[in-house]
Amino acid sequence: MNTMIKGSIAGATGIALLMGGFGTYALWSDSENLAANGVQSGELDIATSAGVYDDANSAAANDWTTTDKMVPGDKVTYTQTFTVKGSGKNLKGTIAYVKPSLTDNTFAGLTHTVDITSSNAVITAGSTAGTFTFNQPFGTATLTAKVTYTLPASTANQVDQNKTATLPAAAFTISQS
Amino acid sequence: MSSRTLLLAAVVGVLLIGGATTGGTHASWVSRANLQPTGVASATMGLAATPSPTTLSVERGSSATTRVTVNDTSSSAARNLRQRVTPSLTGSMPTGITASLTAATANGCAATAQGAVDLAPGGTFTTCLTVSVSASSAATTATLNVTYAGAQVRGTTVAGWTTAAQTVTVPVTIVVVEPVLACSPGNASWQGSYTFSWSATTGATGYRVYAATSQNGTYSLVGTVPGSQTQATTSLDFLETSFIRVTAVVGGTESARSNAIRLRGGFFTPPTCTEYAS
Repeated sequence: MNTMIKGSIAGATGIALLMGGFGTYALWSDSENLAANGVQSGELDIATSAGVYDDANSAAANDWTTTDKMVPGDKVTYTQTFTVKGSGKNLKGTIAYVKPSLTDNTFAGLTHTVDITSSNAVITAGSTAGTFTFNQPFGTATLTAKVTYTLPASTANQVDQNKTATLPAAAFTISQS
Repeated sequence: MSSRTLLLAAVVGVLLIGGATTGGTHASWVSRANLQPTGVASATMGLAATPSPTTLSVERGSSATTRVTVNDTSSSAARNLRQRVTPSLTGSMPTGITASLTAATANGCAATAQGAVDLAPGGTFTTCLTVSVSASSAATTATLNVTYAGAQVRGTTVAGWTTAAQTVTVPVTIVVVEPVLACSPGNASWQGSYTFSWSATTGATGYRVYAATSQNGTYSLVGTVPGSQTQATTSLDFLETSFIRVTAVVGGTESARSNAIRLRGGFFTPPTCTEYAS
């Protein structure tokens, strides 16, 4: 081949090579995968079931029925348990309730108390009456509400015979803070 | 600034704004459950006392009894109620009349005095209320009063409710029993006399003899005899017929008339006698 032609071909090739390298601009690259991951949410719940009555002066358990009648000296309790659930790394909250008062009460001397207790050390009585607070998750715990009715043994003559009293429902609210 | 840098800045900005927005609404979990309504009711405590019979008739020198049944009428649902019932005689009796309260047996009365009885709701017991009249009592009536008081008892301790006392009143009539007239001993004579007799009445101070011409006719008083005597003799004319009845007198009270006997004078024969049941 003619040297000029070879040169031309070489030159053209060189030019083409140079031109091609200048247009694609190849760079270094590398890649890795972000590992699979996910999250779960915690839980905040309060639930309850039917309570039971008991004759506190009797050794037998839960032996008072809704049709039984009180006489002076009787002490009757009603116990209802609440199951509370609280999970979640940063969970804090409050359980609030309002102790109910007797309604439709025709007694003169009947007394009653409402006591709420917690089974879990994380759930403690709040500084405000009618509250429990928790500053961390606690899993599952029990709140026990116990109502105690007492007709004093000193009730005399025919006082407080054929009387009734009712304690209305009371809401227990657990809320995240 | 490269496009990558711009993209990164945009993403960060969105996150920051989103975070600020979340902090402003502060949504949180809430759950609720209710303490169920509850209630109680109280019982009643009561008792009732019923005599049977409701009145008594007593002869002098004897006694009569009424049985008083006491029922606890408290609420049947009063599971812890026990009522102690204490009976007691009240009021005063006329001279010669006494009353007593004794426990009752199934078919009679015990000799023991009736004490307090503890009853559950619906429980019952029976008391014998007995009145005794002496033969010499001049009373014609009396009234028995028994009071039953109820008090709540818990174990052995009396405390709590009491029941308004229930009083049972039983009127008593002291009766003079009429004699039973008989034709004996007879001792009929040809002269027309006839001796008849009657049963003695306790405490009688005298007897009265009545005669009529028919069994159920009008009787007239024909004689009196002292209380110690229980026979009398009458004379009848030829074929005369006379119906006789006798009464007993105790103090100032006369009994009902006895049954009748018929005396008939004979025809040259001694008088004859016929007894009647009434």
